This record gives sequence, structure tokens and C-alpha cells, in this order.
Amino acid sequence: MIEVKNLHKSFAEIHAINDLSFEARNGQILGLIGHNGAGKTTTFRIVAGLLKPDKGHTAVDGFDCRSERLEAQRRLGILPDVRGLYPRLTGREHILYYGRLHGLAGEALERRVDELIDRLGMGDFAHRRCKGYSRGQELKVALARALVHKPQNMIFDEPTNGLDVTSSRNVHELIREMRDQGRSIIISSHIMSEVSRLCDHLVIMADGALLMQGSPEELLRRTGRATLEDIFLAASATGKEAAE
Amino acid sequence: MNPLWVKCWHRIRTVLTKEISDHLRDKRSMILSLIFPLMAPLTVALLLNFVAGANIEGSDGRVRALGAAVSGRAFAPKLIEYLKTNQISFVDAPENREEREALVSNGIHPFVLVIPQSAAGRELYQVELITDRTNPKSIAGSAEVMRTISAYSRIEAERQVTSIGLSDRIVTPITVAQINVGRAPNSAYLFYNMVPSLVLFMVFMGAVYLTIDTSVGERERGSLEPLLTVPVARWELLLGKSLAALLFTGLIVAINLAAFRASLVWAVAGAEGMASPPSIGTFVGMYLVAVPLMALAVSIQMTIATLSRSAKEAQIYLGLLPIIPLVPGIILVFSPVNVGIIQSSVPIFGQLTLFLALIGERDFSFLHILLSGFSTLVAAALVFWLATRLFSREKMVFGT
Repeated sequence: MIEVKNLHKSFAEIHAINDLSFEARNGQILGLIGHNGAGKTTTFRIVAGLLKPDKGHTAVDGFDCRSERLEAQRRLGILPDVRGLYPRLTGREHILYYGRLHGLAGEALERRVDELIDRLGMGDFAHRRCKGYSRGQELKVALARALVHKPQNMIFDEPTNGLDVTSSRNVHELIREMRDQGRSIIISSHIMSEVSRLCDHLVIMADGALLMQGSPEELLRRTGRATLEDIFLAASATGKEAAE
Repeated sequence: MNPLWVKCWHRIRTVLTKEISDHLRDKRSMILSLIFPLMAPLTVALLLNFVAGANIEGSDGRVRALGAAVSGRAFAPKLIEYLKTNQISFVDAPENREEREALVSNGIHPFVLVIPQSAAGRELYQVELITDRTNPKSIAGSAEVMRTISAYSRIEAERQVTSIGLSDRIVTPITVAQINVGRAPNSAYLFYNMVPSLVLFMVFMGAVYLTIDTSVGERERGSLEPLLTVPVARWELLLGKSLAALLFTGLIVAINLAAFRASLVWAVAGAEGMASPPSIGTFVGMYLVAVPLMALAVSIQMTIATLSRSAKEAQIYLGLLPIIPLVPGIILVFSPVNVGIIQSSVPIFGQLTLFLALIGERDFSFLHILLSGFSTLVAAALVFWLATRLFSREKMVFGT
């Protein structure tokens, strides 16, 4: 489970996060939605232990992301929006590197890497160096790297950005499979059809603050909008108005 | 061993192995970084070889005046004979003054000794020496001829005063007996003494590109952010990266020292009068003395790279880094000091004085080695701690 409680974060004069609270429960896919600059990535970075909140608290499976950073990180897998691959390492070497840093070794690690390569359809390129990979191939490597230690909790920032239809469907199946295994998953996506298909719970942010949260059906009912896209557009406008 | 340390080492080794294999695959950077340590040895060796080829020193360490010309040889046969017994021989120069001067200014002869006709049969006379003060061979050779003529002049003066019953001490009332406690002077030593400073330069520049690439470069590529989300302490990540940079520095300094030894041996091979280059043992000793300094250099590089906002900025700062080892070198040139306990304990300074002692075949104490090594390792640890603090800042993720 990932908990975010009364989170505040500022960068100089900019309030990036303003009293944000939500919970991503086990066996649930939570969609964190908001316009560019709403504070999604900052929230992810605080949960990942990269940034220190000014106020509030974040925890992964009960471990504080600041004071028990390493324990929290052991239970977390992150797919950042910037994939950040090493051009001279192969896809397989990336997964092995992260696996070793998570304390895996030997045959168990090799088996896990092979399993991920197979599951994500990386067999054609995993032994090639990453320089020259397509965006979809880069994303698959970054995804495998985040999953290598079988984390109980996952954060996916734009998990299908750059993937073709088949690969996207594969990733969706994988995310659902992990949800069904009882894992806690947060995704951020600008593809509203993806969000509506995948997410059990939505958190809509604007200008660092929580606008509303609930299941997709509940939000549609509450707002009287026809689609999630309408809700997203209305939320973005509300955020801008608030900013003005 | 404590299992905690085994786990720590496993993580550090994972980062170290990744950084090494990653950088070994960067062929262009690797080739350039392996060529870089050959540049200074080759330059010094070529210069030394040129000087050795000019062959202005004899096996006795005295400067030779080769290629010298004389005009009016017949007017002072005793002087010419004296110069010849002192291994200074001449070819004949033209009688015409303009022609003689042209021969010197064109470098055909380093200098020309002119004995005027008025010197014939006289005991008191003046000779001329046509020289070119921009030509090193002319400067060195003519100085040697002037010293020899002065010696001859003194002998002649002593002969003349004793012939009238006076003591020859009247001519030189004060005599100086010089006692050289150092090595016999040799122009090759000038080049050998350049080696310590150039090796220090390599220690501080050897793996700069790797340090930049593994820190600020990784941030620019976007690969640092995912790396910082793994459950590994920041100091472990930084130590793995620093050890990779240390290994490369070690490799590059070893190549640099080996190249110095090989190229200096080549430069003086077959050259008469040139002192032999320092032994292999001297170079091995210099390498061992340099190891703690490599750790300090990498820590400083890592701190600066971690502080920099971009790889470009880091390159500018780290390009200035070799100024640090230049400072003790300049101090030693302008103000030679006795190396005591305090001086030995100053990082860089302690190593430089040890390098100079090794190259100059002078004695040094084991305590000097111990103190310089220990203090430098302590300094390296402190600077590394600072780098770890900087690496843990939020700014490390964004670079602003």
C-alpha cells in the first residue's frame, strides 16, 4: 500500500504540492490524473525517496519514504517518465544491473530476467545495446528494470507512451495481472481511455492540490460528465482558474 | 566478514563493474584516454633526444664546443694548443669579418674565436668571440671556451709573476674549492626533474572524463533518477563510481610512468655524456607513492562534478583542477624547504617532495612515506564524505 498524507512541497516560490492526501491500496490500480505541472511527478519523486516533503508524510507498506527510505524503496518499483537508459549496455544488462542492486543474484536473477524478456516481448532486441532503441523498446527495458525485484507496489509514469497497440495491450494485461496478485499500483497517463479501462480509483490533481477522487463511475456520476476526458478538461480549467 | 559488509560490497561491486564495462565499451573515449598519458613522455623525450643529439656535453660532464671555428690560429699557437688539450678544437674560419659573422648568425658555426694579428709574439693581447646569444649551442660552447681561456690566462699570469720572483698567489689571492654534494651536473637531469610535476598532472586529469560521465553526465542522460530509486545508500553508489574512476586513474598513471621510463631510455640511448634515466624501481616507487593521491584526486573530481549543473560546467571546473598540484611545485622552485613532519603531511606537497627525492636519488625517511600517504587518504575520505553529502541533495536529481 502507498500512503500520501497532507503532503506539501515547494520549490522557491512555487507550491508544487499543496496538502495532497490519497491511498493506493493493495489489489487496486490508482490513476493519478492532472494537467502538465499539476504535481504528479513531484508526488512520485517524494514517494520514491528522491525529494523531501516540506510537510506531510508518504509511506510504502508502512515504511516512511524519508526516514526508512531503503525499506520503502525495496517494496517499490518505478517507471519514470524519463526512461534513462545507458546507451552502451544491452537491455538484458540493464535488467541484470537493477536486479543486482536489489540484492538478487545467480540463477534466480537470470531466470527472472529471462521471464521478463519473454513476458514483455523483448527477445528480439534485449541482447542489443540500447543505443538506437525505439521509444517502445526503451520503455520495455525501463519497465522490466522496475519489475525485476517483483515489488509489492508500483508507480508507472506514462506506462504505454510510445508503445504500439499490441505492446500496450500486453502492458495493460501485465498491470491487471499484478493488481490481481494483490499489488498496489499507481499510474499516471494522459490517455483517458487507458485510465478508464485500467483504474479502479482516480485521484485528480490541479496545481498541486487534490480536486477530487473516487472510482471512475463515481466521478462520472458526481460530476455529471459523460467521459473521463470531460472531467479531466474541466479539472484542468479549474486548476488554471485557481492559479489565475 | 559481517554479512552487512558483504551486502554493501555486493552493491558497490555491482556499480563498479557496470561503470567499468560501460566505459570500456566507449572505444573512442578509451583510445583517447590511453593516448593522453603518452603525450607528455613523448614530448619530454623528443626534447631530451634533441639535446642529446646536439651532444654538447662530454662523458666528464663538461660542455663541448663542437663545430667552433677560429681565425688567426697562427697568432697564438700556445693558446690553441691549450684549448686543444682541454678538448676544444677548431676548424678554420674565413678571414673576412662579415663572412665570419654570417657563419655564426646562420648557425653554421656556434661561435668563432678571432685572434688578431697584433697578438702574434705578445704576452698581453685581446681575442674576440663572435657568438649568437639566441643559439643554445653557441651560449654553452662559448661559455666553456671563455672559462678555458680564463684558466689559460691565469696560468700565463702566474708564469709571468713567478718569472720576476713574486708568488703566483698574487694573481689569484682567493681561490674557491667547490664541493658538490649532489649529483654531477648533467643537462638530462633538467628533463628528469620535469617528470614529477607531469605525473601529478596526470593523477589529477587521468579519469576526469569518467568522473563527469558517471555523475553529472548520468543526470543529463536521465539515468540517475531511476538509479536513485533503488534501495542502495548514496555513499555506496558514489563509492562504486569513484572506485571505477580510481581504477582508470591507476591504469592511466601506470601507462604514463611506463611511457616516461621507456621514452627517456630511448631519448638518451647512445648519447655520450647524458645521465641514465631513473631506474624502473624509481618509477614503481613513484606509482606506489601516488596511489593515495589518486584517491584524493578522484574524490575532488567527484565533488566538483557533483556540484556542477552540467557536464559542460564540470569540464570547465575540472580543467582547472591540475592547478592544485602546480602550487606546491611552484613553492618548491622558488622557495625550497626542508621537508619535516608537517611538510610531509601536506597532501600533494608530501608526494611531490617524495617524487623529487626518488628522481634525484636522494635519501628520504619511511616516516615521510607513511605521513604523506596517511594524511592524503584522510583528506580523500573527508572530501569523499563531502561528495556523498552533495550527491544526496535534491538538486542532484534536477541539476539546478
